[in-house]
Amino acid sequence: MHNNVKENHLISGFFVFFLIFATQSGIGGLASPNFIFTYSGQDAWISVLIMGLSLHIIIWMIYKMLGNPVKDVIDLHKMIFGRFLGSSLSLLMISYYFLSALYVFRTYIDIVQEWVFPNIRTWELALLFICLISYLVCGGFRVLTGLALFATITGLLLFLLVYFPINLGNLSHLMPVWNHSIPELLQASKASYGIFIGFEALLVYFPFIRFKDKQTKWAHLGMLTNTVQFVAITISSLLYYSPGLLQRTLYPLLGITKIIEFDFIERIEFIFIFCWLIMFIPSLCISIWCCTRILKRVTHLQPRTSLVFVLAIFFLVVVQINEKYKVGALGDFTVQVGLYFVYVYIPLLFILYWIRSKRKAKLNVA
Amino acid sequence: MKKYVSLLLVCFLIPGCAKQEIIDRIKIVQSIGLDVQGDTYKSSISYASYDKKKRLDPITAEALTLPGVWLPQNTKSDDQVVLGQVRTIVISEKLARKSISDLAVNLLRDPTISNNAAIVISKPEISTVISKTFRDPPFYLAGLIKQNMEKGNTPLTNAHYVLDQFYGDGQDVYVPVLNLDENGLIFMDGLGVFKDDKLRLFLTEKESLLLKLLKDKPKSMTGSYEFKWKNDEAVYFRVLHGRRKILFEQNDHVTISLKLYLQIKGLPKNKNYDNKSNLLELEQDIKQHLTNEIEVMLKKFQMNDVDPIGFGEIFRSNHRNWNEQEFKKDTYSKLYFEVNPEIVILYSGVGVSAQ
Amino acid sequence: MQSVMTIRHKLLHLSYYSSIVNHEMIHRDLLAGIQLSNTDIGDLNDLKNAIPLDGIYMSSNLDEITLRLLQGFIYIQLDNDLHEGLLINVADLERGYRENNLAENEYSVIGPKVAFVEDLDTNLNLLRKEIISENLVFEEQIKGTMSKTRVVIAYIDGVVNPQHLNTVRQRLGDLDFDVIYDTSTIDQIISDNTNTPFPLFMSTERVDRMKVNLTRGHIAVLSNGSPYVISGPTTFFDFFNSPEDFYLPWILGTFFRFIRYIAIVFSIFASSLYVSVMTYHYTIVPRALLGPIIESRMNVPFPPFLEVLFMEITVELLREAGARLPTKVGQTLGIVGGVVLGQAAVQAGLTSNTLIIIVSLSALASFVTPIFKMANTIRFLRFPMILLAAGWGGLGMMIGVMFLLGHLLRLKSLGTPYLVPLFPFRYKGLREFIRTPFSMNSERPGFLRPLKNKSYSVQKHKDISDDYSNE
Repeated sequence: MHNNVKENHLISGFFVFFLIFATQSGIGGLASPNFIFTYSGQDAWISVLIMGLSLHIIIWMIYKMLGNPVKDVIDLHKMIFGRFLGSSLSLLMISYYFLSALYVFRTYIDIVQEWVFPNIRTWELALLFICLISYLVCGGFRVLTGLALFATITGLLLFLLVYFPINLGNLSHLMPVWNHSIPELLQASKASYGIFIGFEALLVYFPFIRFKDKQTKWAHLGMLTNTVQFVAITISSLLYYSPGLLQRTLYPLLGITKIIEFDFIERIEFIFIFCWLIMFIPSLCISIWCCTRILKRVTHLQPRTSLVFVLAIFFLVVVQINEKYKVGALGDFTVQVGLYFVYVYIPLLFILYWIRSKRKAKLNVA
Repeated sequence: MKKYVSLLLVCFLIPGCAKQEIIDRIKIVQSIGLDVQGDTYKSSISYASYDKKKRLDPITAEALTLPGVWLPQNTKSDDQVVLGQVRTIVISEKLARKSISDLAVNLLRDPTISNNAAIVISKPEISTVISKTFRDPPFYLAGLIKQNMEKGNTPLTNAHYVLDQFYGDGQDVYVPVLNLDENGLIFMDGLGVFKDDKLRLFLTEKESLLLKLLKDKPKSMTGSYEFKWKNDEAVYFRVLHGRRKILFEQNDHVTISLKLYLQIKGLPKNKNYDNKSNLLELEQDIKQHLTNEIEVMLKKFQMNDVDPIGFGEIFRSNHRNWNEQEFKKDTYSKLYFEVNPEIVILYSGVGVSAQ
Repeated sequence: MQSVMTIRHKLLHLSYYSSIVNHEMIHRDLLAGIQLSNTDIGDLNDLKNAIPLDGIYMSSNLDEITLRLLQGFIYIQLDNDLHEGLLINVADLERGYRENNLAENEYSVIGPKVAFVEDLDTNLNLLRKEIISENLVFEEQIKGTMSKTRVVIAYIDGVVNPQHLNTVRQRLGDLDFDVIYDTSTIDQIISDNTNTPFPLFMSTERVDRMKVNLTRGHIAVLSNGSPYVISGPTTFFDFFNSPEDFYLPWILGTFFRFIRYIAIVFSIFASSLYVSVMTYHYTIVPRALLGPIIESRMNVPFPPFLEVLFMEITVELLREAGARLPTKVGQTLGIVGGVVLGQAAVQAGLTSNTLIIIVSLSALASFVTPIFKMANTIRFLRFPMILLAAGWGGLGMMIGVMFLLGHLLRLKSLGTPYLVPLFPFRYKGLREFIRTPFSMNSERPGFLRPLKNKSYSVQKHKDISDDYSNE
């Protein structure tokens, strides 16, 4: 199977770092990490670390599966499951990416409505963002990569704000270390998957990378940076809030930014929330782009038309999710589905691929 | 791609997309005063006003629940009342003695109140204090409290710390206290310490400095202190900064070691500042005095069963299986404190007094 | 004009456009030469030898004759042989055009102030004088069906990337237009994307800037009748470089460049920040500023959005009017506009003090860019930002930023992405942001893909000795 992406659309492997960093928008870390703290208290950072490190294995698996020869997940499905079943599985994946985009989108709108503009209506914000998304996705994958670059820069700058809670915090909140049993830590890790969701778009944009074998390091580096970032944020939340308060706060990270005060600006949290827009838009756009790309690869539908279609359905669904508990339920559901996808489905694919390629090798030899 | 342009244009035609809060057409609240009478909550709001011509009156409200009285109905105001810049929340002693759990829940859930707001108890009537703040420039009260926390004898506390301490195990809430002097000026009058959610005891100004030395971060360990030496002579010094370590020796023995850097401001007249033996003697005496005072204060806490210093929290971080109830019932009252202050006199002025 | 002259008993038919020929050259050189020559003029060849001028063609092709006559040639026919004649170049090139240009639009205090003029040959002369290299190639074409303008592509052979060159040649070849007014016309037709407010070619009238561009590997396009020369491919960040940065020490150059970047950001966002903070985000204002801001806005009856719109449109009016006023009237009205209007507006309660400062500063700041085209773009970009901020506050501003980013990321100038070195992230290209000292700048920028990378070699200083370690 040859690489069916034109040469001038390829990006160099270095950009995978930014892509992985940006697609993991970490909206789970912003919105509802208090499950992590309920299960593992002051060792929450260990849970996040475990989750982050275990995802490296998944990335290794993905690179192995899609690497030689370069293909994307649709080709992989066709190879393993045959044409008909493979195509239907790919179409099912569209719904996965759709769900992931929906989760990020609705959660962000929810945060804006809660903290900044209580009176604004969901459909207004949704319409506005959909205009933005359609303009950005129409630019193609290179534009999305550029956005990922800017998102990473903004993310790393915003990360410097973590100095403040560490300054005001109390080191004794972290102790005693490792006071929880392994099952509790793993339960918290499961809950923390919401932070890392989003990187599975790698399955779809893989052929766009100018691939050389040693370029896997960029993906791992991106994942590692993200893990380190979120471990630091978790630690700073732990330092800043006492354990009892942490379990009751719904948005710890935003609460931290409430207390930062400079001479010329009083409340940083608005700026923080608005800069977060730069950080989560690439994740959203890439997920939507994945949907249209899968549609194009499987059904040969033109991406421009399918984009209109996808966005229309997107808008209708988003507007339906009106109430707070629905948003929470959406979040939980997405995290569950994501966990199964990443920890069950991808290893399954890997094993099947392994068997397949071994069989092929035997056939070729014989 | 033309579709996005037309969609965006349509969006612009939507009037009033988000609620406008134009900055000179709103009443920006600077302090909220809360009181309770029986079952009814009362509040009194003072807003920042830069227009000299308008009448300045506090806006009052009454309701059966705290949230109902938190953001008062706009029935008494010609502009919208907004809470985004609230700096001080003043609660009356009655409310403090009754319970602050409602207040805590409200603070927790409200995204618009800044966590930097200061919560204070006021000994005189709320309405007096709030109307007093109208006579002063805007945010005067906030500036008063902040200045005292940075340079005076009040430990650093704000809404975040109060919530932190309220919901945290092993730590009790403490809050500054306001009072009015005979000329009608507001001044800071020590601290109020809570047990669970009810006000338990008041601390004086001096005790609040000692609490500050035991609780605050090194940079904000500042304050001024005076005491009577032997022969009824007074000594006055300023604490510049300091360090502190609280350790547990065995299960019931707590060692608190302080290192304080002082600036001596007032010595008895017949003592020479330059004399080395004088200064050493002074150091020793200050050490003794502080040790006594701190131990007395800690015993007072034990007797009243309050823990504003947070020994419970420190215990929790050192022991694997720590239970809050157990600690409060058994261990806290049995703790034996050993205080070891170390005094370093840094500066004592640039002149030489006579002799 | 057609005239018949008899010189030395021969009848000559002269045809020329009297408005574009150099009459002096006709009288002094041409006719006098024919009159004073010794030989007998039998046919055209003798005539040709008799005339002491260069560039004489013999032609009977009607199209060529028409074209040449329009370019200022004179057509001489002998009476006995009317179907063929001589075409002689006697064009008057200098009349009407200025002789020199002191670069007032792109002024720099130090450094040469030579700039291009409208006459193409003078421009080519200026370029050739400065870059003395046999690799500097000028390719000439005639474009414009009615203006028949001479358009020249200039590049340095051996440095420039042949792909870019072919693109320019091909696009220029496909160009069909009636009158080429200026190189900006060519710019808009051959650029990659016309639906953008951002200039995709660098256009300048300074000779030293064009020198630098050519040596780095750009391709320049000059046209007759235009003092501006366009060159490509450019990046977004090229428009913020000023030649003065290179004449100052590199630390100062970097400092001024950063001031320019800050000024651009300020210019785009200041008014919309005002609108969004005043309308939606009063909580951001620090306590000490609340007083002055509220007091300054107290007498204004409009919401901040209308106030800002009013002030911005006033400033734009001032600028447009100031550009068209004759000089004598312009100065007085400038003072009136600036001082009186501002003060009066505040006192009448139409705007607030704070806003006047913000709007005038941001208008000034938008002219910080050395290239005029980019300054216009920056000024234009403010207005959508203000609209978005008025609708959705800070969120609107962020959405505007995203739209802008998405737009910039798509632009390409002659196939090179517009946001290099930021977007296709080139580590070495980060040098473009600061003015690096010449010792670090010896390689040509990577995005131009030149054929030769190194432009000069850096000598290590041998005379700076470290006094301390040699003591």
